[in-house]
Amino acid sequence: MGKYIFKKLIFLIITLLVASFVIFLIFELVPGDPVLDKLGTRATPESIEALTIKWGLDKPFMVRYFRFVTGIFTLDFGTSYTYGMSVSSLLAEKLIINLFLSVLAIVIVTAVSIPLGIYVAKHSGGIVDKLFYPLNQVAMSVPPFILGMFITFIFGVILHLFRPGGYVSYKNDFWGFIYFLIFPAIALAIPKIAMCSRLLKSNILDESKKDYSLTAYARGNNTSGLLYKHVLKNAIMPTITFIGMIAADMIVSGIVIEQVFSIPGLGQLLVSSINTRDFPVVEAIVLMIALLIMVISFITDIIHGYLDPRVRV
Amino acid sequence: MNKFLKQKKVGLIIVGVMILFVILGLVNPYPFDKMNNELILKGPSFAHLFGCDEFGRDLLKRTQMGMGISVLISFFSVAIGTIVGTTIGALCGYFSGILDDILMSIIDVLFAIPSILLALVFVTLFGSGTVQVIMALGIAIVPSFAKMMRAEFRKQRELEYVKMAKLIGVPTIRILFVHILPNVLETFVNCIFIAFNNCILAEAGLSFLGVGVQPPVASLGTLLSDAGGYLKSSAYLAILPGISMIILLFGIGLLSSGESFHNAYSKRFKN
Repeated sequence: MGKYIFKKLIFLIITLLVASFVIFLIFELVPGDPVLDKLGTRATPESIEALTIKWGLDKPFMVRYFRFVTGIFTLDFGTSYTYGMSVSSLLAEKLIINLFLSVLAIVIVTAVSIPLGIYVAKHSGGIVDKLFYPLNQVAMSVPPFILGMFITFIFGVILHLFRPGGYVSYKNDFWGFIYFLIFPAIALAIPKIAMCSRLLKSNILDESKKDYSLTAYARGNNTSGLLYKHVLKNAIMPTITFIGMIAADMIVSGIVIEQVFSIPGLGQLLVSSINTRDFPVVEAIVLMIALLIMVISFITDIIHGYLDPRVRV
Repeated sequence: MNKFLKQKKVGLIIVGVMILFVILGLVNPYPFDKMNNELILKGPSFAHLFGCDEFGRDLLKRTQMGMGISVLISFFSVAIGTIVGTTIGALCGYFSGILDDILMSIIDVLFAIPSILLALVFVTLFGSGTVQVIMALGIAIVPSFAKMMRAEFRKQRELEYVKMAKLIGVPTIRILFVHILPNVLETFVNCIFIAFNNCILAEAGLSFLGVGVQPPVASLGTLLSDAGGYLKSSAYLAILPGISMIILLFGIGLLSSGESFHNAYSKRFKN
């Protein structure tokens, strides 16, 4: 197990270095000088020099790249061109919002899709199963932001369960904040629930056709015993990996969903930074998301390796 | 198998109807950008089946045009992504070795960055506009395409007919695209539909964020993002284009032979 973790860790570090280099290089190659952009017509040679030094642009490429990469550990990504404050303090506040949103969405996905998948597999051919398939296909075709708008319309405008656009800051009212986030989380969760429960169902059905299930059945297990004691252990594996992948995806889908519910999160910062060409912020956000995705896939690999020793070879 | 065939037929019909819907837009007499003060936020009526938007423009025409634009953008992006992705996947799968290792590690890194984020970075660098969005989405497709095709080509490489072709001296390019490609057609076509589906979603997401096509031209995402502010008073502005988009995506989803995202994913995990 130790060797497996070590191997994956080395791979993680290499991927991280390559990804961060690519991200940094791309922004380095963009035409235009951010210092001149910022100062505009008021630029004097002295002010240009001062700002170049302040932003650290006078240093050679590799030095700046090194600072950028170590920023992951020191949490120092430089200064935002537009806001003039440090990027990490800008990000910290937004990340909390997105983290809560993603975690909430994943909790909803797990809580709904696993029982649903098991139920549908167990009663396959029944009325719920027959309804399940077309509903599933529809749920998968709905883009999250349209879902977000429909949810705003139904729960916000018609049922008045929350105030559309009335984001509550977690600093003022933590439970109000969580309550407000439930609705975007549902919008994020529904397509994933569809995918996840279908994956689980087809895996359970596949596994239950295998020889070991037959043997367990012959030994006198009833359907539930077979399902919970034998089949589920094997069938749930791809679902766990899938939930891991979803976790990464949530942050990105969240970027668009935030816009629907006007939540001042990572997405709004990203879009406004793109419009103002605020490269340090964009770089840092992209790196953060890429890092998060890599770490999540690292963790799912480890869990996978722990649950299924064959993977480790 | 039969179930999938029936499903594909339904999908084909739905997509056909949506294409007809877009084509009918060409004969729709209302111009898409003509503003009319008297018709501002007027609900659906017989003259304007989908109603009018906040500038008094006919929403039916805008939906038809927006869908047309979304489909066109996705078409070109998928074309770019398919050509580049298949070539990379074919080369990597057929010749393993150092080229394969290098290209695949790059693809793995790109795979770690989600496509909409990749597209956003691209737009940051080159500005927003139709061509940029096409390029960005095209590039964003490449990694998943290359990965899928590489696996398929690798499997085929070991088969008898490829070895025979090599033996009688068929040029490599011909082996790759004339001999092997038809044999992996099923995966290939499924990949295209999945990519198409993803593209329409991503394009809508990008224009929803306001970095896609620029006004007065509208895509489905633009229409929906404009409608966001009027959910309280005129919800039809969001519901009608939204449902049109869902129907289109539903059709494409069926077309990929039940081989939607989740199947593609689960296939990857099962082996």
